[in-house]
Amino acid sequence: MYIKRLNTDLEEDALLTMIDRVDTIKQNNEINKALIEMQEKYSLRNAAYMGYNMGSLTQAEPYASVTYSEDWVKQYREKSYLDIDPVLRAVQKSILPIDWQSFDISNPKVRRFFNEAKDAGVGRNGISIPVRGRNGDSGIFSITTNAKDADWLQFKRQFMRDFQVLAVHFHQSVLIANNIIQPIFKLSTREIEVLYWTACGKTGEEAALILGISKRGVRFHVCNIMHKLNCTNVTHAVAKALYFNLIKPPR
Amino acid sequence: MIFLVNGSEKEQYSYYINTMHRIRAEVFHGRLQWDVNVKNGLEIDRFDELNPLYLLSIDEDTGRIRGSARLLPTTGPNMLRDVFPTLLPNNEVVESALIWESSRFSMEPGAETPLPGQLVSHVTAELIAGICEVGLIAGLTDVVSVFDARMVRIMRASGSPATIIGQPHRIGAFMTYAGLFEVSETALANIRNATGLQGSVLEPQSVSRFLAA
Repeated sequence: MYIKRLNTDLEEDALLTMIDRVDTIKQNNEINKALIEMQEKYSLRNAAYMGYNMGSLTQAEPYASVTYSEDWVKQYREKSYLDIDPVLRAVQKSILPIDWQSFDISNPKVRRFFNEAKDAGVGRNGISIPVRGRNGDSGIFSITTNAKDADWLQFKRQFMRDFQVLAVHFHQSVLIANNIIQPIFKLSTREIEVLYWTACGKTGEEAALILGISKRGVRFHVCNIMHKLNCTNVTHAVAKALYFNLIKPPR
Repeated sequence: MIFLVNGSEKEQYSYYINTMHRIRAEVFHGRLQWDVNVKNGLEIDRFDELNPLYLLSIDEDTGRIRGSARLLPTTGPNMLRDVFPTLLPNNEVVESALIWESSRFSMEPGAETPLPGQLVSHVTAELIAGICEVGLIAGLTDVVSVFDARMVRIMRASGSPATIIGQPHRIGAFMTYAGLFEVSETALANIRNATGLQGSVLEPQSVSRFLAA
């Protein structure tokens, strides 16, 4: 997927490395490993993914993979927090990410919940990102840090795009790991043309000229190609497209 | 100013939401004569059931709703994919964590008329700037939308020109386009320059429900 980068202190390819990592997940136990890897790469306190409406997989309760301590998970289960966690309720109804600080803690139940979470080392700050899937499936992707408020604001600004993208990739990987969807490689005529000329060594600008479309149009197609092929860069996409006979070999 | 409401909050904000559906009926059924369902004077479609995010333009003096737009992620069901697939032929799709779809962009009669010396009306400017601001909060790169030639002109006049994607199509009496709008600080600055808006148009209380200040 094409991503406009914001200025970051992280190594440039942290996101691309993570996407690559998440997209190669084949089994459920790798989901948690990838969450832990992301936690380290972005210096997070914790990360969590919850999946909903995924057929039989989520019939009894949502799919969950979290980096929280065993104690917190145990406490969460014992007290049936799945039913009262205000974050889960709010995020399922929203398309905007929700910062945990925005919850009204004048409600004693909510305040107690957040205090207990804090005591259990969930993290000082957190944000949850909703994911909407193609077939009514949905997900909640949460990350927390121990950053001070000012740093947290900066952190969110810098990495919101990264986490929006990773949220969708984790969601897709859970669906694929559980055989709910199959990875599909189906390029449009335009995408095939763009990728073919790229394989021939043309720049985006040259491809735009050849195809009589705008540079921005080419960029848009490249973005879609990378998304469809689960690729992290154009070279990767060309290699994969040739391997799967999606484009003819360049002359 | 722009007030943000989740679809799931329609009971709580029923007056606002009903006014929005009434204006949408007047615009899409009455004025544009699109093939939309109107019941009891309200235009409501199946995408309203999917908990979209509504941007409501509220008149600061009267407190009345004057116009609205609706946002949905392109990773889930959306109009371009499910209603207008002919606009993107040959298996093209817009499906990205960083692109949301804007639809049902509309305002009450009269709210479209710019003040003398302005290119677009205040309500138009607010809605377009509001979409860009919400996009920035969510970390988006673009917003995609299906629209007619009139909207192409309005967007251009608002400093937010569309990049047309796919294949324009005649639907009913109108040429219909799919277009991308950039979401960035630069794009927002261009909109503010072209429309004379200063500072955020988002109503702070409605934003703080999502993002702590």
